[in-house]
Amino acid sequence: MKTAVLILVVPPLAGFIAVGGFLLAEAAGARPLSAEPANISEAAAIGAAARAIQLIVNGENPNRPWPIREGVLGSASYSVDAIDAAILGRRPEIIEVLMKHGARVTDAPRSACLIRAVDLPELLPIVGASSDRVTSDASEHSSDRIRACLE
Amino acid sequence: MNRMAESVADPRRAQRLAYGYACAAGMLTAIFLLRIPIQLSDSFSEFLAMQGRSLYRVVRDEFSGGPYLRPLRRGLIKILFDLSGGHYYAWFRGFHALELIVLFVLVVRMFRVRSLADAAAVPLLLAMIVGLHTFNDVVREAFPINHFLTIAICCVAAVNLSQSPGGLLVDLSAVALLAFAMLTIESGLLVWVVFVAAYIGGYRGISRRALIALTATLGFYFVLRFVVLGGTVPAINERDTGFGLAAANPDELTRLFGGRLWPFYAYNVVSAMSCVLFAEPRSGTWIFVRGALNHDLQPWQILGVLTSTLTTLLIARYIAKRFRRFRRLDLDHDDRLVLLFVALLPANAAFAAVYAKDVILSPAGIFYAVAAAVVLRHLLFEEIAARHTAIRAAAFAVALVIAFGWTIRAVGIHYRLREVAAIDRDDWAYYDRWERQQGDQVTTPADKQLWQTLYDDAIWKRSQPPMIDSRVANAWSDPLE
Repeated sequence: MKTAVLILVVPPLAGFIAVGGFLLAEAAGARPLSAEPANISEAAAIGAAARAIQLIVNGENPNRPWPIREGVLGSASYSVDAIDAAILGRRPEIIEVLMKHGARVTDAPRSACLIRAVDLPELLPIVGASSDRVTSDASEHSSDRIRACLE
Repeated sequence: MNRMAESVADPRRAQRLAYGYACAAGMLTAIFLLRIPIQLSDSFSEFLAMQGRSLYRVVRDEFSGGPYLRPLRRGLIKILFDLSGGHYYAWFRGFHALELIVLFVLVVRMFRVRSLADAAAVPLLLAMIVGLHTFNDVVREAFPINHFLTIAICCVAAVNLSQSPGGLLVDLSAVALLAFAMLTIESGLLVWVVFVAAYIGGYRGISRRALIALTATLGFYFVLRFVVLGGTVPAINERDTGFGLAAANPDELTRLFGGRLWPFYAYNVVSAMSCVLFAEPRSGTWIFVRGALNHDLQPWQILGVLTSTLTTLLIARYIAKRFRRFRRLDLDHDDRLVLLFVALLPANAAFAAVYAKDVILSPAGIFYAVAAAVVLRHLLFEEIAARHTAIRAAAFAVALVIAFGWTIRAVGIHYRLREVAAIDRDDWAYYDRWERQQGDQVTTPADKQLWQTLYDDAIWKRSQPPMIDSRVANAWSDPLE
């Protein structure tokens, strides 16, 4: 009967310990499975609006370039400001939040280029262009176009 | 009884273990609930509706006919709103967490732990409840009080009353419980089904007189709702619902069924029962079938359907083996718990007739988990004890797959709750966009003050738990959509 008890108890107890252990590890300062944005640009890139607000209010400048690590937006790494990060992450909804908290377009031609590269023409008005001026070359790969904008 | 069960001289030890685990497991999940802020959608509008109105007016305004009669749903929100004194997060999120722990304790009480064998089944029972897809929205959502959780507690409390020694106080409590549940949301009517099924099954905590009073209360509800208030039943034109391999909007449903809606209702009821038994369809949509047809099945879908189907087969086998006893109503405690699930399932499914949503089935899901725990305990501790080694090995293997499967589902819910915490916080950060979509919500200084309090709670006052991401966890956990 011990086997029966073990079968019933061990799996759920292991699950309980795993979840509890996870919380304890976090409480101790460890960050298992962490996907925390390291800076305002990473927060913007993944659409983490609440974290973005916290970072800006706590002093991070959204208008200077911050590194976006490899893995956050695919396999490439970038160094861009918050608005461009939101464009690269295809998170148009966060741009309004960023602008409300002091972010601005720092390099309009580059931002416009990125908007075209990621094919989000509805964002062109934020760089002062109209949305009917999208002229991206469909044959060119999106990542190549992004790279060209950032060079 | 087997040797192990008999060896426990003091059943209180087993009970202490079971209740202790229930509290610990409840608190663990409660920690995840407490990391979620009050939701913007579904909650903020409710809060605004509480401002400047008395409890009497809030409740009275709900007695207005129409397709719903839920005065105590808003009444409860109003009571908590006023009691909170502006500390909305602590009261509402705390209430959600407390309700979960109360549910766990009542479920264990209903399970009646008398031996170590009983206690051994409790961790898996609770893992099954948390891991159930019908339970997802019970923990994920709050409106700002999760009334589905409230009704689930009422149903389990009804069983507890039925199992009690009885008496006038129990009878009066039963009537009060039914009245409270019915006037909270429509599925509160299930409490009556529970009382009747429990009585038929042999529990005598509720007297025959009380059963008549409960039935009269039920009748009074229908007279009040449909005759006095001139209420209607919900129509299909209110929202999208799952149908076949995709969601269908009201226009599509009208085109499909015209004025003859009975086939649609029947589809939903059958789908709802299948949803509890086999984890498919989900909210009326056959996503597992669709995934199989598109060669795009996700691990969490396979896990859900496999564990639910295996568990259901065990319950079906138990009922088949004891069918004669069930027919004669010659039932012991275990049989009664299984009977309660069998009675509640179709009744609960009927509430999904118009609109298929998994969470509507949360009471049936909880009773499903209890029935499954009963059956597993019976299989492992009583049935196979004297059987051939090969049969025992096969039974152990099936039980192990079930136990691990449900554990993975339960752990996955916690992973998704962390995701929900970030999503609900971000909703507050995106408030401007939400308000544009909803129309002006904040119109008075008091509204603005309320908004500021909830916004600060979500963004600033409560420490935001670290965001997590795992490819494995994403693949194996139900996405809570």
